[in-house]
Amino acid sequence: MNSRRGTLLLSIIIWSGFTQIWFFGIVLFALIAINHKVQWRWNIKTKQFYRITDFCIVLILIILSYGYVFNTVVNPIFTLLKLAPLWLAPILIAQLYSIRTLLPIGTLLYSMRKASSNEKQDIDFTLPFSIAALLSCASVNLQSPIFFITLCVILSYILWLERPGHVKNIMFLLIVSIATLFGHFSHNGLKQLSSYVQEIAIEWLTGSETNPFKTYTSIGQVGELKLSDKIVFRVKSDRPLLLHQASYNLYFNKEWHASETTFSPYIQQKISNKTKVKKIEIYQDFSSDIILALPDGPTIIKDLAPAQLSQSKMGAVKAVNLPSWAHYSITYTDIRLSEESKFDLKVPKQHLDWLNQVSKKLKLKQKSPVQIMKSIKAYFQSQYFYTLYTPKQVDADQALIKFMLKRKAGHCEYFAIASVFLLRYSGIPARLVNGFSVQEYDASSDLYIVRARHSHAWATAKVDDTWQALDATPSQWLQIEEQDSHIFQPISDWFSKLYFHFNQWRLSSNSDNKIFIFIGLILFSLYLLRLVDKNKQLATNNLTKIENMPFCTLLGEDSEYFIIDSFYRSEKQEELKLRQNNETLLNWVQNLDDPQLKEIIKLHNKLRFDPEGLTQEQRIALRERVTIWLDKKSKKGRGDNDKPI
Amino acid sequence: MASKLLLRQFYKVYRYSRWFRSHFTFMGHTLLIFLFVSAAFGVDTQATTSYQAFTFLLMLLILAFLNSFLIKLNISAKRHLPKYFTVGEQSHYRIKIRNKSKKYQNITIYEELQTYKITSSQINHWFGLYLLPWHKRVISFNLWRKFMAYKRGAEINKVQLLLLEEKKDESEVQVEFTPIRRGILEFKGFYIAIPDILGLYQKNIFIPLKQSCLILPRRFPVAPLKLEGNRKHQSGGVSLASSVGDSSEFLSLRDYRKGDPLNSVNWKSFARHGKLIVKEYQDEYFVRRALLLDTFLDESSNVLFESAVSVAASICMTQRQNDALLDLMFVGDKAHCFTSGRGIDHMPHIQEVLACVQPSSDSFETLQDAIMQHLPICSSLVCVLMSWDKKRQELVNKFQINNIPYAVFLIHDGSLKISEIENKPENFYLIDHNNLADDLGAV
Repeated sequence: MNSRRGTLLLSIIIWSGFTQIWFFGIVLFALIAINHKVQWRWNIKTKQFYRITDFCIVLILIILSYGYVFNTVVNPIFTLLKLAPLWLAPILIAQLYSIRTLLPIGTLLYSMRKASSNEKQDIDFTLPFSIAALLSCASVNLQSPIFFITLCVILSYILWLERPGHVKNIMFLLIVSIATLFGHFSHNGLKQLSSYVQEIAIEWLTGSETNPFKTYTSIGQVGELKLSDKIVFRVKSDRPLLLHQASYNLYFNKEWHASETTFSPYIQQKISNKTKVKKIEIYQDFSSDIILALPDGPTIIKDLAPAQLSQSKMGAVKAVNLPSWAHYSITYTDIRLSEESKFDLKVPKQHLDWLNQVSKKLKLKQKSPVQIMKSIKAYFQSQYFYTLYTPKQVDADQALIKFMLKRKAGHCEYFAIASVFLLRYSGIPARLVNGFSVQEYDASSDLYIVRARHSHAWATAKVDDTWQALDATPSQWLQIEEQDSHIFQPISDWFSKLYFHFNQWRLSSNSDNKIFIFIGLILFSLYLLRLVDKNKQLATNNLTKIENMPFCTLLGEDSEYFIIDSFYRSEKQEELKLRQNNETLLNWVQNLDDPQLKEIIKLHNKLRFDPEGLTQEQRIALRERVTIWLDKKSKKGRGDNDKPI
Repeated sequence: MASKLLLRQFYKVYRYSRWFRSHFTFMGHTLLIFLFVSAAFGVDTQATTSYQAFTFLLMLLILAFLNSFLIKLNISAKRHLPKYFTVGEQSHYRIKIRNKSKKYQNITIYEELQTYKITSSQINHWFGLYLLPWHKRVISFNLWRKFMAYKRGAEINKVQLLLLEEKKDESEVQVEFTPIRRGILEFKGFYIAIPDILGLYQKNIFIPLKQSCLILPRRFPVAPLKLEGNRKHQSGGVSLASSVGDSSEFLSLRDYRKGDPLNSVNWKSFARHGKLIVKEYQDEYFVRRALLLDTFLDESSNVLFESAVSVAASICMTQRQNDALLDLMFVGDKAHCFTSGRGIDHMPHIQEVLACVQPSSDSFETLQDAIMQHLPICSSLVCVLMSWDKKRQELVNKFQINNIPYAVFLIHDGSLKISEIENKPENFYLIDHNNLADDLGAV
């Protein structure tokens, strides 16, 4: 037990050192350190241990609610990990300062509360608490070997304390060394793997994030291209608009790339009073770093603290260290200015044939840039159809050629890329743009809703020194997308709206209101806990439980002699010899020289072992004799105490 | 079909959880939980360093698992199991183990009982789910697990053995257990769990050792019933009181008369006196009490039936009178009558019968017919019933018409009150199955 206490104290020091939570660390340290010096203990019953766990759950709820309501930290879940020793402390203290000295297993495992008695066992919580304290040091996120080394040393020591007796020390050391070595290599590998998977997952699985340097188009992919109905963000704007995320100017190996790949810190632009500016507001929740969807010519991005913004030369704005939810505003000029690059006019050779044909058909060579843009848009709007379905998987280039000359139906990427190539072929610098089309207006909240399926691609062309958007996709694309919406979309929208209003309130309301809501939340959680508990009680009452069946009672189990027995066991008087386990009552009483007790035991034996049992009179006699005997003994005890020393 | 699938899934969950519980030590479980916690927090390697803890914990657990292959054990064992135990009474028995391999420490021994296939109808009947509204007739995992434990028959504690000596003569372990149902308890063998070098993973070695014992029903003290029944003529005397025959109790010797059976001739007297002398027998009269056990569940639950068996067992134990016979009558697959007393049979045999009695699917009339045939030789009757419906009341009325003293024990679920019972006879006892000991003690 001493070594366990030592480990516990050490882990608390380490935890305090890592997290810098010294006050609580010192209090907990003192409580553990004086535990064996202090004699008093609580008589905590099993159900009271369970209530302590419930209290810990309330503590967890408080930490989480506080984090979310007051928006004090970016991710309250990690705060929960950091404060693990704090919310686990009541359980540890209850164990250390209880008569029981161990913890009923149901305290930690809810499922074991109703387990049969032989499955229920008492456990020592000190070592799990030590490991929890060590693990919570991980929340500090020291990306150095110090955490790993500390964890290996302390955990190995704990295992060494608990090792089976037949184990040789040299073997133990060898195994632990191998585990440390492999652990070290694998955590480095895991980190790399995690970064890789994160990158892939963002690009391929979610589809909601944008790589500012490279984009994989869905051109040529078989089947139906369908993005989810999930609401990505809400926009307050006076009109529908296109929000730009990233532009790509280099078409290489069937992929679009950005020729400028460096990011520099975002600088809010100063604009003259004469410049006409517009403003939109965006309500968005963030789970990781993203490329912001912005209107053309953003000048000031407000209320996105503590995020750090950086910008690429091609207009992509990256945000890191974002809050979990934000309501930010963007002031913009609606004029995109960016330097032209040598790639903005390049047309791939494999597409020259159809470009020549279409260009001749539309007589693009004879038109001004503005007219060219109009002609291209009108051509696609009138001659082409929007579809998400591609019947056969083919090469991206082949798919585009087929789209232009034969199929004349495709999704936004076909239209956007074809427009870019037609513009370039006509001598106008053009780029492919990825972003969102803000179209779905929600009158109830006076906001535009932007879903994942509103993710859009269009072309941008440099005309009159400004980059102007050319969205050639036929206008029915939004209706087609909407028709295919999921049957459960209204339900998910409702939840999303609820979450939106909660976050809006969280960010806007004053602190007094928040405190009341915070207290309300806690009380409601307590009520729910109570309700669940009560319901379970009701449910179990309806059924007859095996446990409730009475156990076998022995003949004479209610004999008054047992009061004497407990008296002997509780009063540790030296002259009262305790009966040995295998000694019969009669043998024992003969050595005591107590004729009254002998009579009591005779009656008791008759009650216990004679099938005829005791008569009513004999039973009364047994009761009376026991009372007299106990009175006599207690008087004698008091008399001894009254004697002058 | 759906319930069958559900029960199969329950069994899988049960097997997996049992595997985890038996293969990991307390420290192993602790590390396993922290492995999942560190994995959950370590998904984002940029946010915390708990992924470092995850890899170390994972390596420890993998190495612990691999180490367990190095454990080899060669032992022989013998279980010293008493013949009888009682439901709900904590008992113990011994296992003697001879270790022929190297010494091991901190090992755990746990018994493996026979497992039974469980059907949803069994659970429905046992917990009386069919009595609940349809939307509450859900077989939860908790119910399934309880019934499984009940079918297995006993809660056997794991035994922690600090040291299993190397090539020592014999080590003895005492296993404590509590039987939770009547009937035969079958042991398949036991497992010896030996922890690995790190003390995280345990290798479970199965030692087959098939054995069985009988679990008797619970018994409670009941004061002897004062039923004033006359002694009745018992055809065949004590020796054949419970069977068919023609023998009588010996009275004296007399001369042979025409028609006397040859087997009653006393050949020794014939040799001594030279004439045929026969043994004369006198028909016997003694008290014979019948104990009638109601085995027809109708709408009663199994718990009520178990209580009825307990009450019957308690009456058998405490109504012993040296000069009386006791007939236990009930219907199983057919009507049964077991007699004890006056040296015919021993009480443990009646208890054995009661340990194995099961609810009957036969009609109540079978019991009625059997008891009516038995009525002429009965001095008194004790009925243990589970409901007080018309047919049971009619049966009891017949006893009254035949002028046979009787007592009725009605087992109920706590919903009845003695004042509300109609047509109750003189010796009528209402026994609440939740309060058996007190209610029987108050008789």
